[in-house]
Amino acid sequence: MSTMTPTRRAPRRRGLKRSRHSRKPWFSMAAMGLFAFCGIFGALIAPHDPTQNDLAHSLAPPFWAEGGSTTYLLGTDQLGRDILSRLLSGAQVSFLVAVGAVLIAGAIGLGVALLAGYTGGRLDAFLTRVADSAMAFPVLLLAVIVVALYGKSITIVIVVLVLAVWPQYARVLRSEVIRIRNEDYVVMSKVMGGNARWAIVRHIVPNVVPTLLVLATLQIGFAIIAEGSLSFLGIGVPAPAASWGNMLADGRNFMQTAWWVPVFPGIALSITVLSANLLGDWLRQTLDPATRR
Amino acid sequence: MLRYTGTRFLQGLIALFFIVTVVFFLARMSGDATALLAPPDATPEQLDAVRVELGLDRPILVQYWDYLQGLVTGDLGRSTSYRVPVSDLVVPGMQATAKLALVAFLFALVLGVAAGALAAFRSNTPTDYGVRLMAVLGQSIPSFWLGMILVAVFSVSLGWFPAFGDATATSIVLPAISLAAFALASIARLTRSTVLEMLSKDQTLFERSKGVAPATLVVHVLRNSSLPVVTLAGIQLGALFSGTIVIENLFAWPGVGQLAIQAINAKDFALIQGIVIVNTLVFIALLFIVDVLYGLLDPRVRRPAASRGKKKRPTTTVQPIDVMETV
Amino acid sequence: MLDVKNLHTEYYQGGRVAHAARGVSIHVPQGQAVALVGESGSGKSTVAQSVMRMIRPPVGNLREGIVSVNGIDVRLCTDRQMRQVLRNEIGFIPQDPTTALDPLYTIRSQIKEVLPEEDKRNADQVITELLESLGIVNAADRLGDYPHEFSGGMKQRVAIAIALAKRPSVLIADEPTTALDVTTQVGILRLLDRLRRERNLATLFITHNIRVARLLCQHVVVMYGGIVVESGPIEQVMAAPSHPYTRALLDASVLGDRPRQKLRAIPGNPPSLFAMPQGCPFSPRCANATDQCHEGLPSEVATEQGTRYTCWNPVAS
Ligand SMILES: Nc1ncnc2c1ncn2[C@@H]1O[C@H](COP(=O)(O)OP(=O)(O)OP(=O)(O)O)[C@@H](O)[C@H]1O
Ligand code: SF4
Ligand SMILES: [Mg+2]
Repeated sequence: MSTMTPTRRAPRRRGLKRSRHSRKPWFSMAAMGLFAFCGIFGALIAPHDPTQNDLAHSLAPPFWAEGGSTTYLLGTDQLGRDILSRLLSGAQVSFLVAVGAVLIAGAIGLGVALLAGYTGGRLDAFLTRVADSAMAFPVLLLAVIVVALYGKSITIVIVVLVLAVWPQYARVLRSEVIRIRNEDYVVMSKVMGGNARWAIVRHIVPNVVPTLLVLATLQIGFAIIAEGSLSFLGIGVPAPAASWGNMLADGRNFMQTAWWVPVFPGIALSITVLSANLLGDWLRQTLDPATRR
Repeated sequence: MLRYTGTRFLQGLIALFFIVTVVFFLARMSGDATALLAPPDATPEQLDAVRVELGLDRPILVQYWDYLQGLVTGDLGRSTSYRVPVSDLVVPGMQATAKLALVAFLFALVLGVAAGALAAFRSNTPTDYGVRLMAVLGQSIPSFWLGMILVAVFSVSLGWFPAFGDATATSIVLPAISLAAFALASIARLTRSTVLEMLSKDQTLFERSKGVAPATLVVHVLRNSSLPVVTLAGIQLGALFSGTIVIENLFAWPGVGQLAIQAINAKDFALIQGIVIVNTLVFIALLFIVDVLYGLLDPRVRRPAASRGKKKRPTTTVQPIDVMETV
Repeated sequence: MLDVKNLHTEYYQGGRVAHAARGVSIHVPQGQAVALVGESGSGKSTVAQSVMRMIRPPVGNLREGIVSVNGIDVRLCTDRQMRQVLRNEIGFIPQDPTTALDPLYTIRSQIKEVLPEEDKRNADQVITELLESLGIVNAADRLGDYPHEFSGGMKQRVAIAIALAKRPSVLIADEPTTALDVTTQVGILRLLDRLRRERNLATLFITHNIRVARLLCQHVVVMYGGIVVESGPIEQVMAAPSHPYTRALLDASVLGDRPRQKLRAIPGNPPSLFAMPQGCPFSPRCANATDQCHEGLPSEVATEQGTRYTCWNPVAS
């Protein structure tokens, strides 16, 4: 750190704490809470079967608009399916895909990071290289190959996302592992006869948890968008299951005539991603781990 | 510099070879390749014919060797759904895709850098808050949803721009904006944080102590900040090339993205394989260009200091930037 | 000539005001070198940067005092005038040339930026001569080189060249040798001493090591907690320090040590700007402290030897 720096963003100084902590993002926390709740209990609170056609009531508007009824609170789509129920079901899909992908990728990334960071040497160089290449490879291209070969399903979506996301964890966590490994206390525990595995579990893993958390939160937004894109293209979650992406695809011709068909999933998608991103940014600033340097 | 570029080029070729190989063997391993490569409605007799015609009855390594030879001469196989050579479809498609991706990229780069730098130089002012807000929104709204909104407003309601196709000069406006939003936001964010950091460095303090004109100072700061931004821009350009898949399908843009989805729905694996390979080629070429650009921009890469003791090779393509900006 | 009188500089951080220089006065006559010494955090760099007016809102402000560079009060300058002062009057040598030089520009272009107009016409020749006079051999061949192609000591010489190319009358060096190894340090110190004599520079030399200062300077100003605790001719101050802190500094310093290490002879840490003791800032660590010390600061006392100190209970020497 420099000694001669009066700056806009001052480097951290003794006795003066960084003052950039922003207020708690209540909005994002609440939105993510709601998302998680719907993601877990969506099916229980849905008023209708999300895949049940009801052509007699197709394109019914939301209850407050003219011609709307409280039977279908947010209206119906062109097949007469209840939008609210489909939104809830879509939340479950997004939640499952996002959390599943982020957790699995996190576990893989952490494993690779521990292996690479702790072993060092050639293995480290190799794994870093693989992670770098994998990270640079575009998700959608990956999805096209995988779906063409193995067909479409929720599992495939998760697989694609895991493939796309794990390198980021590996990269960031690896440098954390190396930093922590070199810190005195791990060295100490080695000297004192602890074996490598013990040192890892005991010291490294708890120390990378903040970083892991920040990355995971930021990845959730990414995963939700990616799932939405795939479903929008018809190569993600297969119909008739509801996903916000394929709801938008179904509704894309109704922006003018039946706005509620595309607008509700569009809002759900944007707000969820926005909240995840804001929450991630906030966590990143607050926990101050390796991701912001 | 020559050595550096040469190494990079070779690495690019290896990566391309790797991906071609993986795709080839994955296709052969995931069941009966004949079924993948023949029209989906083929009868058993037709399948046998296809098998013989494509040489699928021969040992896999021989097939692989043939396939590689074909690639080198630009032969990507035959599309089963269109019944024409894949290259006849992919080449014009790639042109349309490249047009869209490049326009979107220029838009994102110019505006992103300008907005990010402005926000950094005016940090903690309304300008800064505005840029940051737009950037967070830009990173949060999915491109297809943004595209749908833009069409509803600027095409259907106002009638300013066409909603689909590539018929007129203004057709590209809405798809390009929808496609660019995410990259723009990421570039703006990274530029802002890089410039801010640069402003707080000893280097900038020393430059200021020279008493140079503000414009000179800004040039120094921006040039130094450009390094991570170039890396991100390269990755984003690659992402734009594949991100067009979504936008092309929304706007009926005649590129490889639309082709890819048609190919998946028609189970036209030869076409998919061709698209993936051409896309990968473009992608690797982009990374190579970024690397070369990096060398041109940074003398430490271009002319590494006389190595004392251990040699330092550039090891990673992706330069140390805030990884989260790259998603 | 550099004349600082009663300088008060503050930083704004997180809505709070940190008072980093409290009534600092330093006089540097032409052709003389004044050392500004003190522990890490005592406010040395703050003073240097105040002179160059680098501390501006929203970072901080020069709240009070006179900072006169050859008769121009930098507090009253417009931005444009200030750039003029920096261009013509003040040469600044950074602590670490590796982080201060711009890695993307050649040595030539970094020096050329500061050349006065009349020198720009035959810039290469002027730069070569300057670099060679600073001890860089084959300078003509190295103009197109980049900073990373130079060693640490050579980089510092380039930085010195940048400071001198403007032909300044005031030279400010903020710990110019702490980033270098010991042998290189001595070379740079000798060079600075020679330049001061040859060019009649008013030199403000910042260091945490009072013994290093003696190699170069005629006067010394000792800072602690944002105030000047003792000042005067360096020989006298070192022979007979009056302030307990100066005494401790002398006991603690050895030639060639590293910056920012804790003072061995003095237990405790320098105070934080937000928890400044009531009276004498040194009182929590001072062996001589009495009740008086915790209540208020004494006014400056002049000694027969020509030194001045700010202390209730000076050390007998
Ligand atoms: N940009 C800034 N914002 C807020 N406080 C600052 C800033 N720069 C310095 N300070 C504070 O001002 C005080 C004096 O710092 P200064 O850098 O002048 O000390 P110094 O004597 O040069 O120390 P060092 O030997 O470490 O260079 C310190 O307490 C420091 O924390
Ligand atoms: S004033 Fe008191 S506390 Fe301060 S240095 Fe002198 S004796 Fe010590
Ligand atoms: Mg300092």
